[in-house]
Amino acid sequence: MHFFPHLPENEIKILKELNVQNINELFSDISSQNINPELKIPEGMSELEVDRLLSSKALKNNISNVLSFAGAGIYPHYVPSVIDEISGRGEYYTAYTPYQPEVSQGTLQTIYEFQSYICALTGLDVANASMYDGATALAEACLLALANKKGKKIILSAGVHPEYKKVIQTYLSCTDAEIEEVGLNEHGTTDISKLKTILDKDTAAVVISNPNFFGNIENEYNEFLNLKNEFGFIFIGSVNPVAQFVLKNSKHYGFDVVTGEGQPLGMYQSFGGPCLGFFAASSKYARKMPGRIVGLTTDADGKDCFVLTLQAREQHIRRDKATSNICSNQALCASRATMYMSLLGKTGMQNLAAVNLKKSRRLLSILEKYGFKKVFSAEFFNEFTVSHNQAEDIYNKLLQKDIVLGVKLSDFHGGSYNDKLLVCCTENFLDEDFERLEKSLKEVIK
Amino acid sequence: MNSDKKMIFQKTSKNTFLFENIDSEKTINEILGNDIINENIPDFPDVPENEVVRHYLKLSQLNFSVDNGFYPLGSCTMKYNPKINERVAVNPGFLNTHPYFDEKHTQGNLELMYELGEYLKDITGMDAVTLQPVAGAHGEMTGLHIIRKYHEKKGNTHKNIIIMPDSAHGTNPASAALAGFKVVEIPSDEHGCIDIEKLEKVVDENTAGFMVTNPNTLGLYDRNIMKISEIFHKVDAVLYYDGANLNAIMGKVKPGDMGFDIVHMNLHKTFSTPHGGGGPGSGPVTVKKRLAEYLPVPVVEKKEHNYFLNFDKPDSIGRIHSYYGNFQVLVKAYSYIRMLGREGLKKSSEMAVLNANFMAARLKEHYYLPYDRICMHEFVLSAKKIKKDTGVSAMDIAKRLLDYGYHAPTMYFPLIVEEALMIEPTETETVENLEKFCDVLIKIKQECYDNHELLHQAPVSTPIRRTDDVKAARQPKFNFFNDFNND
Repeated sequence: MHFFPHLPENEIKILKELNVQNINELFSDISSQNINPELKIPEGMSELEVDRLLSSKALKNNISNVLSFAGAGIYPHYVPSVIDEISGRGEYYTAYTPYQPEVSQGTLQTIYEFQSYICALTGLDVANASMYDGATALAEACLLALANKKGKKIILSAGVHPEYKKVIQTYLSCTDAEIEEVGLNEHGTTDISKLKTILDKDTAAVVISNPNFFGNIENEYNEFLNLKNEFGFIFIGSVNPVAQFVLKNSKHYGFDVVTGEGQPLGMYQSFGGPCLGFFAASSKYARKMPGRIVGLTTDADGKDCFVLTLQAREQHIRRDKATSNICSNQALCASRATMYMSLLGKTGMQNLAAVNLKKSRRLLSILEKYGFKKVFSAEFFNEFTVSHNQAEDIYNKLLQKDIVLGVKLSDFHGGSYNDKLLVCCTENFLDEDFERLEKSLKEVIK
Repeated sequence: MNSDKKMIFQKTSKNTFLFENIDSEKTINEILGNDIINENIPDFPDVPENEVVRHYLKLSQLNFSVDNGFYPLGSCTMKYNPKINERVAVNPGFLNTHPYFDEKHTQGNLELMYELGEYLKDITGMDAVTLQPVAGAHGEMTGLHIIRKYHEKKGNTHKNIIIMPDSAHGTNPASAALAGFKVVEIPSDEHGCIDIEKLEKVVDENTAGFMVTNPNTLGLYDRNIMKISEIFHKVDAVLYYDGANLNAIMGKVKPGDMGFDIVHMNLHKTFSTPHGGGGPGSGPVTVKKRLAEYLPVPVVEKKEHNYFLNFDKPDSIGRIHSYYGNFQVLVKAYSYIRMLGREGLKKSSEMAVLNANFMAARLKEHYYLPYDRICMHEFVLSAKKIKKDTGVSAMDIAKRLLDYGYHAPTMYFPLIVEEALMIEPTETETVENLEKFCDVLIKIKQECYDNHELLHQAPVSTPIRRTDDVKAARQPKFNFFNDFNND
């Protein structure tokens, strides 16, 4: 199967018009020793054959019977049918970056609506058109802090996602930044008294995650706000957008920049990609932000319309002085998130949050019945850390039954976490799922 | 806003999408309590499902896309996006895999990634691969971090300069700066290629690497590429191939054989995955053996019949993405490569180059073609003379094309051509489409001389007219809740 429509006679006609004998003459700038190399790629297939081949690959994952409570950044939320249907229109997904606003108002208005939703969620003034994922959005926030503060120190809470920390390390490895970590207290939230001891005038930014990696809500917003006012660092939050809908936002915490992973807003888990990074900031950083920004303006007839704006920050204008190198982002994912938030509205988002709160507590009570203990006293949204002296054994036995009881924290934090699991529960679980879990727990814990 | 163009926030009703019929507010209050919840939750509009569908469907109709028509946007390779790619990528067997699943539940994903990696290594002539970067610029950053790490490991920390041609895409210098390098740009010669004499003067002990596309952004293949790679390798500099223009040479020549050490590809250009209005893309990076140890973690590997993610790479540059890249995009590219096969990929590049030369030959009688030689997959016209004669700019011509139902070419890039119009037809268009487009461009040229005012006014038949970009930047409005506070 191929997608070049010329008939052989068309080819001959064009070659003749170009005054060349054969196609290879058009490639005569390539040295003869390198031209037309051998490829080991298999021969082509029909659409039907590829359809079958890819189905067989998907089958090899063997997940049709899997019941998973794994979260840790990517969550099993329900994706309403509207999202696939509308974002699946060719006009959305086969368009390029909206460089020609006259024929791109669909994408531009959708992204403007996305930015507005993210601003409303985070309580900040300006959001961009999206970043690659939650981790790179957070790393770019750290770069923004370093570029706009004299200090070199970035303080990361131990509650930040461990993979995000690694991405930040990579992104900052070519700067003179010093990354320091502040641990958690016995409630499982950032240890503010320790934070006070390492804060100084050289601190460019403090980064927390809410809820944090262990599921705990970082609720000492007054303390954070006071410290920010005292030390003047850039305060960066990495938030879960569904939780953020009901939790206190930057208006309480004083965040200057809020980033996060938008996958819960209408994206599938799909092995962790595509994700949706979002990035919002207070207005004073609007011209320092990375990425595309859509703005409202008027056209020659005075009609309201949308354009890409503040482009003087970007790589195609500013080249090596740009605020970031980002060009392509995750626009279609941002469009999906916009459709998702529009479909749910205030009532639906509130309902989503309530159902997540309720069902995750149902999961906790089931686990408690079988000897699991909630590790931290802090409140949680839809994910929490539990321990059990046979955690690893139970996890493996459930896995034999195609039940994934969250993620093993020892995979991220080593041996001292051998007895701990991070589990999540969302609206996507029905009575039959809880019953299946309970039945299986009964069988594996004797 | 006009009533027919309402924003979603200006629609309201009580009907919304519910997951469970419970008293949400009460549940939230009871579970979390006042100290945790926000008393002012965001004021999202409540819109019934059918109105949401109509709103975004109407918006979609304001877009021009590849599915609407010819999209000759230079350097962006807007080829047809096969529909089968979309179908295979949404198989629930892929969609419902979590990145932290046990390997027994991800063998299909890992096998697909492993095989795709093998194909990309084959096409680029390289030895190792990462699929983690999710965009071209992300791939560039990855490659530049690898260059930095390579020199660090060899103790060559003085090597802090990346050289690139003045025709380079803006992401090249931006990525180099992000990786802590200084950028030195070298001018092109009269053939639009690297000026070897000038190059030899700037390459020295401090040169860390060289970044270039070949064919370059003028659509020209640099005949001196082997000589250039020699110059850089002599000072142990690393050669980076920006794969933005790989669609010209798939199966015709391997960057590895030209002397390159690192290649990034744009799967959303060359390998037919859709652009999505600006993403998600995918920017895999392949490298020569001596750089393999620096690739980001994890790397997909094979042990007997099983695939696994190897995190144990002590010299890796680290992680550059939360997980393993844009997996769904990888599935689409895999499907495309298997459908075309080795012969189809090669023929795609041949047809892309044939089409570009066909159009260039037709148009050069009417528009100035500054570098008049055989081009590869794209070519750059200049409207310099038309502007001098009539005052009509490349921008005006591009905007007029919108009136005729085409997307505009890339304008004012590369920066080294005045009033540039960069045209890339791709291989997926029919001869009739190419001829018709040429006819329209020729007609527009006549309009420039007959009625230049019409050109300044264009477009006149699009959903909106030309936009006030200065106003957008000076009185920034990018958040409905601030912009329409008093409505």
